[in-house]
Amino acid sequence: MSLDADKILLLSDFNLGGFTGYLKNALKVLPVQAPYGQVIHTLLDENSEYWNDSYSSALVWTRPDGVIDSFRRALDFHGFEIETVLTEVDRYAQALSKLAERVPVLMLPSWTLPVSMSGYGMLDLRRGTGIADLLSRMNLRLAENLEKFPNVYILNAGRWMQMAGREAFNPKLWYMGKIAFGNEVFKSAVADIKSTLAGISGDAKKIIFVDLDDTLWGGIVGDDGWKSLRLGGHDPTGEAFADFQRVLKSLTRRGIVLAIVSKNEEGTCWEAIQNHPEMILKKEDFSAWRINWEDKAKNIIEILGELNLGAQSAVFIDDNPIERERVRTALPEVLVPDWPQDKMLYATALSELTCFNTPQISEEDIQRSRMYREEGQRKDLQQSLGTLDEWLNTLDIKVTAEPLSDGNLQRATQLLNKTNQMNLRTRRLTENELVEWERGENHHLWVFRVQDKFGDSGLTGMISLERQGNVARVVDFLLSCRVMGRCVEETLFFVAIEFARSLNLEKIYVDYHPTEKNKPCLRFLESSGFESGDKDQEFVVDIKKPYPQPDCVELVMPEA
Amino acid sequence: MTDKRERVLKSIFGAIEEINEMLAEEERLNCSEDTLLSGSAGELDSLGLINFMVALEGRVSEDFGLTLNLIEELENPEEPMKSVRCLADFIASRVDGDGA
Repeated sequence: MSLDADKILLLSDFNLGGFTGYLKNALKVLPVQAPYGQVIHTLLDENSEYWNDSYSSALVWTRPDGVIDSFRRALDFHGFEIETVLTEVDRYAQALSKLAERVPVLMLPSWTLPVSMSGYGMLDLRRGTGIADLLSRMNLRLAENLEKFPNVYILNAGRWMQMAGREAFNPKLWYMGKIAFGNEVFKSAVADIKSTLAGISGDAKKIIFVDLDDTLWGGIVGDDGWKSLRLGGHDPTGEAFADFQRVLKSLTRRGIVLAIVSKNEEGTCWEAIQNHPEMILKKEDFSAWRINWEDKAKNIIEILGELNLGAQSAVFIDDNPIERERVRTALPEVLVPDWPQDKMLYATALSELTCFNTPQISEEDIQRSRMYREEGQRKDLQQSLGTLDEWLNTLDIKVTAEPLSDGNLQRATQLLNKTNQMNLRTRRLTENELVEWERGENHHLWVFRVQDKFGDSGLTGMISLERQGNVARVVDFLLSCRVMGRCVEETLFFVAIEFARSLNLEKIYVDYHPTEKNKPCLRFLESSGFESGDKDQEFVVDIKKPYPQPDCVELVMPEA
Repeated sequence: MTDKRERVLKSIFGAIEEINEMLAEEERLNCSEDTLLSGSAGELDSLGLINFMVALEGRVSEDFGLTLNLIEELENPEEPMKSVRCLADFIASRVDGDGA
């Protein structure tokens, strides 16, 4: 099932009110709303009219007392047995699991208590008595029940309630329209849903460009000198800047890449970063930088090119509204958040950005910053060397091919769903769908790990074939932008061609499916020496013609 | 137009802008006195009207310290909820003095 279908199914036990409108305005999807109050009936009814359609995702938003009867009684201060309530949660999860099997993505806002509900007061978190304790257990039990479905995401609705404060519930909306939450809650929910779907589609932000003066620290380093900067120490504003740096640093541990674009003298800035005792971010935390007096938009484009990242993956943070406007206008795909004037709000503003969320956090994500730093070192080496071939030969590139397995399935699916640029067809599949396809008759798939002398880039490539008589067709060909341009592309085709040769096939057809982002793939195919096919943007590999393994790559094949 | 009525209109237009955020572009209401709200020719559906009334009650409470219960006015034979103009007249008549 494709992620780009345009309908989202909404099930709820209350009137979603303005939520549906906010959702429609924020996303390019058509909400299909089942009548409220019929959640379990709809989930269990195999013949429901709602299953005649296909959906790109579904959202099931319930109140715990709306679907778990024993909890409703507990809210009225009837006594309860925890296990009885949790058994009811299990049954509800079972009903949800049917929907998880029908849709590519299922989102469930976590259960929350009405903000006005004080429960048993000081006993409310006591096991066996407290309502808040019981609800925490119910949320955990629901999550445990559904954790075997990688396409189910339980969204933290508690955060939406906290952000809305007293506006989280409006009695008038409830009594007049059976709308269970205030519109501020709905707005936060839509923001989280948008970032969830963006993350799943591979559109999560990957890089933050930051300015230095009055952004990373207080003051103008070129004027004031690094010793006078406001950063850390017994100074509220200094502490705020240190906290902002801490949040940035924590994002690098999730794989977000940091880059500097600053109008400054480079030497002066590095002197500050290296010598200021309260500096949280060090030179090694930045994967790239342009510290000069040139246009920041131009500098951003250069760095994105250097790191093989697209403008849509970038966030730009600058205290100067003119610089923000310049980048916003020149590079509309870059996210340029409005930035608070008050320095003490910087860390909060950054923490509130939901654009970095991804459906999984793999080891590769965590290592991404390190990998881009290593990539920077490779580029340095490239600049100091002569021809590209000479440079590639110095890298000790090793490519290891593997069949799809339990051990690499999660990362392989993530790669399939996140790769945009070097991607032949931009096919998006869930883990189950990928396994099912790979097991199909005449289907062959390899994934590839890439490493070189600077480090391990991890599982970063995939190629798959479908045999059709005495020819084959490439179904997937994709490569992470981290390893593009190092003859790994040719190595993937070498593996596919050798396999076709071993089966005495005659040709491999390669159909390029254009998207807004996969031009690099077309450029590779056009320069590959493959013949043009009969169809537009079709390439044909003649197996009889030699296609050597690149000299600069050591290839390790899986054991037969 | 009195200053008081202008301030009331500002509150109403604020509520309209709030509601427009949840409406599709072609369904959005004009910030105009001629905009029809309830009744057969009203531009809002029942859910939109509920959200509008709640938004406006909040604003009027904040701006004028006046508690309204607009849902009850839907039954009012003078139809204060019929249009923005009627609503502005109705709320202005309830606000005490220009300095409120």
